[in-house]
Amino acid sequence: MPKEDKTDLLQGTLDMLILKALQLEPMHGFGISVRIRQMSDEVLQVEQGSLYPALYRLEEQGWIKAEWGVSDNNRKAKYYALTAAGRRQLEAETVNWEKLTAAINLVLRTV
Amino acid sequence: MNFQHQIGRRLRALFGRKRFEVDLAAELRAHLEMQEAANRAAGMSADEARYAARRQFGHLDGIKETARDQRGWVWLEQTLRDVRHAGRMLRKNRGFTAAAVTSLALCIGANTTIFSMLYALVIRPLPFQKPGQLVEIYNSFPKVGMPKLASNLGQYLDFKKDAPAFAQLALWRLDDYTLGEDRGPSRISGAIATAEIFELLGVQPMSGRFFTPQNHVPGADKVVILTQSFWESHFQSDPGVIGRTLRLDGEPFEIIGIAPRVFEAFDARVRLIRPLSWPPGQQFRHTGYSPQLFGRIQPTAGIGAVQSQVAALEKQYYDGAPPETRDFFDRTGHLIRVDTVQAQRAEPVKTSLYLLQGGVLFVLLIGCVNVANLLLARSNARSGEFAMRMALGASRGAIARQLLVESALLTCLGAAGGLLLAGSGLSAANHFTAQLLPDALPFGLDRHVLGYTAIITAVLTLFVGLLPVLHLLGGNLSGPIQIQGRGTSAGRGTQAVGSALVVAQVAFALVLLTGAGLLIRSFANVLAVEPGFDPQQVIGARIAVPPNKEKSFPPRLEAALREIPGVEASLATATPFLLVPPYQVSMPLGAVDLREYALPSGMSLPSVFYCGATPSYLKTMHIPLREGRWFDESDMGKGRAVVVDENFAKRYFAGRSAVGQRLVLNGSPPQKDEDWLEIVGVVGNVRHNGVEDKSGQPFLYLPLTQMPFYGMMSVLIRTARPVSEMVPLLREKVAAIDPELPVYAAETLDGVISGSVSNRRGIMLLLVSFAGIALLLSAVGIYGMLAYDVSRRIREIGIRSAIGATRPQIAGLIVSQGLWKTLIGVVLGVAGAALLSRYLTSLLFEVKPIDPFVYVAVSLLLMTVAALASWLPARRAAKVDPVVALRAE
Repeated sequence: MPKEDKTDLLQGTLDMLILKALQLEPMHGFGISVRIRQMSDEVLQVEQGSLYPALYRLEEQGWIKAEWGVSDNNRKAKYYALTAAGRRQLEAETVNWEKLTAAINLVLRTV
Repeated sequence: MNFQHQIGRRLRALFGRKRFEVDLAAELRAHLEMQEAANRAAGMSADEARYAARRQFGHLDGIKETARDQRGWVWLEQTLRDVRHAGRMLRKNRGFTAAAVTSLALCIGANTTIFSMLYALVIRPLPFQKPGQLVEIYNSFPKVGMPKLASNLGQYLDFKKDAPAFAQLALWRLDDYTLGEDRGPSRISGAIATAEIFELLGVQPMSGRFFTPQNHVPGADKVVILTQSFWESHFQSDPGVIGRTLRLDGEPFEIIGIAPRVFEAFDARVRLIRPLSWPPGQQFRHTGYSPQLFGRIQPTAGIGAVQSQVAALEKQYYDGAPPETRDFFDRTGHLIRVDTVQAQRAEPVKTSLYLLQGGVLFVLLIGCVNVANLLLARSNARSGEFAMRMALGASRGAIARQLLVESALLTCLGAAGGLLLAGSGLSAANHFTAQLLPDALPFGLDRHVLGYTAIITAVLTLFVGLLPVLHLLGGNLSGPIQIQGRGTSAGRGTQAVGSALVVAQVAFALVLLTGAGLLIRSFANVLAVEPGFDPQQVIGARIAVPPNKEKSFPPRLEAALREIPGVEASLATATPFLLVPPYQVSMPLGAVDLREYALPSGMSLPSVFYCGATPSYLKTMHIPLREGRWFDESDMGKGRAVVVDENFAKRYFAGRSAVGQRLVLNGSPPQKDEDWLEIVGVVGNVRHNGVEDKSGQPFLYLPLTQMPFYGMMSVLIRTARPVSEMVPLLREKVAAIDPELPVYAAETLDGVISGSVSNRRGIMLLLVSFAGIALLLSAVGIYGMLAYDVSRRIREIGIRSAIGATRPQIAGLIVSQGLWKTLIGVVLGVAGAALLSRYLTSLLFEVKPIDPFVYVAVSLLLMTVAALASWLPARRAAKVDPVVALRAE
């Protein structure tokens, strides 16, 4: 069902967004979903049903690593941090993404 | 990312499942709470905030499920789950599992045992570098039934000089020695060899040095190499043994080196090796066949090239040879042959082992058919379960995988049991063949054998596992769940496959039984052969006598033995039937020239086996005298008299008397009349070379004094006293005369005869036990099929008996079903056996491969067993109460 103000995420871009969200500091799952919403001016909404599988997938790939920690309000939470491989992956994906969007823009403009 | 790291993580994921679940739940709960807190901060009420958080979050278990699938090896987890499930299924049906695993373990165990023997004796390459280059060069005399005799110094020297295809050539002859030492004399096996043998095999001395061609000269040849085992057992691994002196047959030898253990793979009996020597600068004839000639061929030369080179050199020798030698070669059809050492070693045991391997493969087929049938019946019975699972969303693939995993678990359990059985089978084999086949021992489960077991287990799994899977995939399981196996004649296809399997089983069993039957008949025939003497209460022993004591020792021993009361003793150069290692006697074969007998042209030179004996020999052995007389004391001194057996008399003097005829043994006809030997008597035939000797060679006896001992003689004692009493007494007497002479191989002649057929007995017993297993397995197969059939047809049987079928009629129905299938199997089996049994020919003794008696007997046996196996389910069917059967539905 198409939504008016919120865009569904393209397959594969979620991973990039998560890595991007973690670029500055380690974060827990809830924080990541909030950060993605903020970064996209409330346009991109991450479903929890996609977020956690994605987090496990990224951990499996070795791009992020998880550690239990304590949140701002003293709650036990699992924090995810970028690994070196994750940082490289983010760079690569960003470059790819830019190429892709440039190409799409080009297509859109010519039509 | 780092691969090891990933494996570690996945393994942790696989086994740390509990922790993972707890972590995941905690993490998701934390998320919910944070969302709730955020909602409240945004101004919602407590309840509203919680519900909104829940709503936003979505389906908790769905998330967990997807999250789980992101990690670990899903397929491995599923397989482990399948294994656990299969384990539960197998535990639930203990009877089924026990039957299947036992069948499989028997089959796999027998297969592994025989294969490891086959591998060790026939297939395993010799542990020397490039074993394919090692060849033996030997002489063959096809026209006189001697396919393989060894070689000689002449051939060795000539081939060494003129056959460039060989990198090395070496002579090698086994030899027994009396080891003189303080503890009393003992007899050990050794070898005399030329120095190239070490280089040829590619072995280096473990310590000290090996001898060289310089030691091939008389005078320089009193050196000896010890094998590692002998050095360890006899010298307690004393490193200072090099340079010491060892007394062999009373002569001193200097120990110069120790050969490493790998050398013993060439011949495990050998304890020491000493150099062969010969007078230098002399020409040697290419006749006389005592040492074996081994060669390593050039890497560039093929065995064909080598063969043609030696054949050409032999032809060259033949052309320049004296006329008698040429005549001898012509009459015997002499050939020189080259074959790989590997092939030559495998030759004597190859046929029996391939036969046994074929036998166990048949057993495997039968057992595997049994298990397949059991699984098929079970999967049929479980079709309701499968239909239910598929209705609940299991894919066909998932169920097929489950079935395969179950079969695999069964076969793996079977393989484990089989390996245990093989382990004990092999230790028994090692025990029984320790003397017979020392080179290949011990048999063990090495990686090649385990590989073979793994392969047959895998093939077995596929075969027994795929059948139910195919049945599942072919069947219509989407049909209504309520149609379950019971009461309906489910799966005509299954039934047909089941019947075909039983027929096949019976056919295989019949082939195996026929083979066993033929071997049993052969063995009975072998035992029925009269040895020609009375072995009861006769003890034979061997005494090593060096050439310088041949004249002095025997009369003193005879005199000493005469002092023992109640004993009749005689001496001879050979013990009849002493055919198996390590003390086997090879009877010498000699050429005879008969004065009054014109040899028809083209006929081979008369040849005889011969041995020397004392005047009391005939009486001790109870050999009948047919004509003339036996030796007396005066013959011992003069030595002009010989005695022949009936074969001899019949072959050369048919229709007239052999007594008084003149002959010469191993020599040219003498000028003077009195130099001819004279036949003084004819005695009954004795099978000196064992009952299976088919050569029909005549036999000739010489006075003991007229025959060289070649280092050993036999003493034969007829006495009512037991071996345990008589042998120590004999040793005492021998030691009193000469403490340096060892007494060995002491046994009753009954035991010697029994030992001479031990190989045949072993092969027969093994094949008979395989056939027994096959028979048992097929009986179980027939029983299983019918029992299952009866249980499925209870309702039909109930109806039949309700409308008037009598109990015998119902029982007959079931039994006839079993018997029909058996009959078809028997017919196919007889055809198969008739085709295959000719491969047995070389192992049979006076039985034709198509022996009607055996075929009829095994067919009847199989039918009887099948009738018994059918009778049990038939009885159950006959007892079905129609009321109960019909109400049960």
